[in-house]
Amino acid sequence: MTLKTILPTLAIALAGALGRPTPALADQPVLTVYTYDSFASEWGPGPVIEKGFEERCGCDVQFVGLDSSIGAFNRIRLEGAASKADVLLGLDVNLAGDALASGLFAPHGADLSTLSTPIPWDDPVLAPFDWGHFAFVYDSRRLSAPPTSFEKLLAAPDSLKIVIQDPRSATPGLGLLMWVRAVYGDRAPDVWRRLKPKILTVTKGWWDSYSLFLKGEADMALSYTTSPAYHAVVDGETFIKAAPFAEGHYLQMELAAVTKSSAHPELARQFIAYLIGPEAQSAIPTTNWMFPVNSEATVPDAFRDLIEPVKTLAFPAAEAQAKRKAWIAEWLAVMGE
Amino acid sequence: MTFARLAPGVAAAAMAAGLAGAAILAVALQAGGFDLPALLTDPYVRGVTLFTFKQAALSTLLSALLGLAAARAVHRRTGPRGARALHLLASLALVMPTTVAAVGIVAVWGRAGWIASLAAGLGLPGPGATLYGLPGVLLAHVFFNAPLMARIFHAALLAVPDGRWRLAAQLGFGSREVWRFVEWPVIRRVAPGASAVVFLLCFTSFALVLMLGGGPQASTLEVAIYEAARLDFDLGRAAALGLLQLVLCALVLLALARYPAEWAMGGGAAGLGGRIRPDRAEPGARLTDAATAALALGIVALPLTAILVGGFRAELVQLPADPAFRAALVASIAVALASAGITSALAWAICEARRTLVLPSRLGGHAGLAALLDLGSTIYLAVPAIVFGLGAFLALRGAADTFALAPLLVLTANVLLSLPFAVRALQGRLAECGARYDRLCASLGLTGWARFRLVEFPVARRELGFAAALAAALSVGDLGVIALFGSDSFRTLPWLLYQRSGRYQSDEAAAIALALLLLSLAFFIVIERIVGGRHAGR
Repeated sequence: MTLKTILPTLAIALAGALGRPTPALADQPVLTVYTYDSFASEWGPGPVIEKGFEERCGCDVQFVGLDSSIGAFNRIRLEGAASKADVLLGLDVNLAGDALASGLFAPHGADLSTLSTPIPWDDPVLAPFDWGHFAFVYDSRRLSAPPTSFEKLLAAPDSLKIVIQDPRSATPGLGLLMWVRAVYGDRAPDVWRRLKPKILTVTKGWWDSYSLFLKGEADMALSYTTSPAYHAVVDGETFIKAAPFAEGHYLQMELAAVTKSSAHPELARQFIAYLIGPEAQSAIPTTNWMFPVNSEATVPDAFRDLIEPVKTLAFPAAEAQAKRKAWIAEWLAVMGE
Repeated sequence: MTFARLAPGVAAAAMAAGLAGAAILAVALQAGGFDLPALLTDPYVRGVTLFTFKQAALSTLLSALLGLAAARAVHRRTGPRGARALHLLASLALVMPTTVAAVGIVAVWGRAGWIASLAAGLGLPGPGATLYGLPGVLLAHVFFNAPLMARIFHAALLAVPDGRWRLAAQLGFGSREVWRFVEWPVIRRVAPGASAVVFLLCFTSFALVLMLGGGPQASTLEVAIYEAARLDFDLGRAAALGLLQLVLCALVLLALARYPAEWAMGGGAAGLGGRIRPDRAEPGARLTDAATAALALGIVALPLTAILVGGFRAELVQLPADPAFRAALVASIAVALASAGITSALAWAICEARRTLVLPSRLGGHAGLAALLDLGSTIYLAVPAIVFGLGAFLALRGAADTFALAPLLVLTANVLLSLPFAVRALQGRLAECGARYDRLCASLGLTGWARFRLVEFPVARRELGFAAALAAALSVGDLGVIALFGSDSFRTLPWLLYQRSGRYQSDEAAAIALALLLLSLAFFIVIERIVGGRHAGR
């Protein structure tokens, strides 16, 4: 093979990769949903929900999986009124304030009063579709007596190592920041100072931490109370457990919204209603590994065995938005000491 | 004539530099401007910048030292086979996704790693948590960059004519004299340029620094940019930080450009080289070489082995049945081939312009302008992927569907990323070829395509093969812009790896990581062989 034969081959290959058309039926309206990648991926909830909604809407649902929920939200902010997105899925409560302040979203019109969420939620613009609590997970074969509260974690010897995520790049990391604040208030900097020797490392994303934990590098990792359910359902293993903390656990609730610029607002509102209905909600536990918001949804047994937080901690969206920057700066100052 | 030789290369370098600047400008315009003074007085930014400099400088120094020791050891002890192994190792380290490498390093040096269990078995104290901190960052950066340095230094040593070694032997040179009179003169020519690129790679490293550095006390400017652009959506700050990084890197590049930077990554002349070195049998040299081998084994070979073991244990065989994997594979191959072709052409043009400026047989002596060409072709290494992505998005959003443009943006980013390496692979040989044949070609009236076909291509095809192969392999492994533009209709393998590792899919992620490495390696070997000819890589 010489250069003369390589170049045409290359051109054909490239044309093949670039020219793949997106399948869209001309006579059907297209509902575009921006979300984070794992939601839209083939093992996530995306395909199930797409199929279910398409059967009743006479439309074509297209999920666009972006690198993260913040990435998806920023994409809509950049695109502004020209955005193709009809629906945004996956915003965290900690970023809800920013979403409301952006003015890019319209009322969803769904009835939230029948939903079972761990905190009361009746926002007309942001609709919750799943939730979970942050928790430190551990391997019960390696750690027989895990700390049962933040106090005990702080009092544990420094040889107990935890891995957490950076609040600047990962939502669980931001969640832990809020968690410590919710428990300790203004004493948070001092708590971080005591926690610091136990922190093996801080990673950019959730997965980097979790894989360090699975490899036995750390005794505990910041994750979700639902993480053990994944290992129970998929691997049939029950030794990964979440440690219940006496002070309560901070909430992660994921939200959906209809964009103001949507070309099919009615369809988008119907989609939200479907998303929080029993059918779509039954797909959430074993695809997104979170709790459904609809009590009629079916939940696998593994979810019933999970720890139940004694108390749900969460800041109101407006407060989280107002204080986030200062709290991150405070955290950085302590961690950099 | 001169114009035709200069214009394409100057245009290519200007385009690379222009795209980098335009991306930052687009972000700044969107935000309504920069606030540079506020940034420069921010103690957090200053702290992060200082640490970034410190870790990058230390990483570069250590990579250079180990690389040099390894290059000398390989040169002294092995023939073409050792060269070939070094060559592959360098390219493998260049294309490895950082998270994958981090997992390998942790598997060896971590609290529960191989070294720790060995120590426990022998009843010795293990490494504990000492990995996490500056040691971890340095270990990881040396893992990535020492093979690259070794490759460059080894090529420089191979280029020393046999006659000089014979003379050294006749004069009874020991190891120290060999270093002073034979090796140092060739090493000092390549060291500044090689160090500059390694410095940039370490300066902009992000996820790796955070993960192995133990936390925010060890983070780079990139993480500040990431936070500004992502979490706070403060585009003005993101652009200003991006500009700050760009300026700092440009200063470093320009400072090093004062020294002649002619490092070649292509194969050197296939002389007798190491076999006639007078210092081969010296006990001191034997000792250093053995120590170097042990060090290289621990730092580079063991983590690599850990990655291979982890990947094979996972479900590699099931991958081809996965339609998402097949689609990503096709996309990755297409982008890699296109990137190889475009990068080689641009690199060739830049090298042509560069030698026209420098060679006495042509314009001669325009070293300053040549340094600008180097700057243009290298500067993309200093632009954060997130700023480039945002800028490209902002510039294009009115004109076209940015999702449809994703493959083109990924391709552009990959070409710009590979360009510095490709230019350096080609430039030494092309300059040498010009110096040797310019007068002959002029007297024969050989120009343009005829000259390329009859003179340049036969002389430099090995280097061209290396440049193309490296560009292909680099773009197979790149997870930069794709992280911002990837969607379900366009996925590459690194994007799939990133997705799979996002939610518990660890086995598949390990398998994809290994597939990615094998593909990079396959690309490397095949393209280099096809373009570079039979003696490629020697």
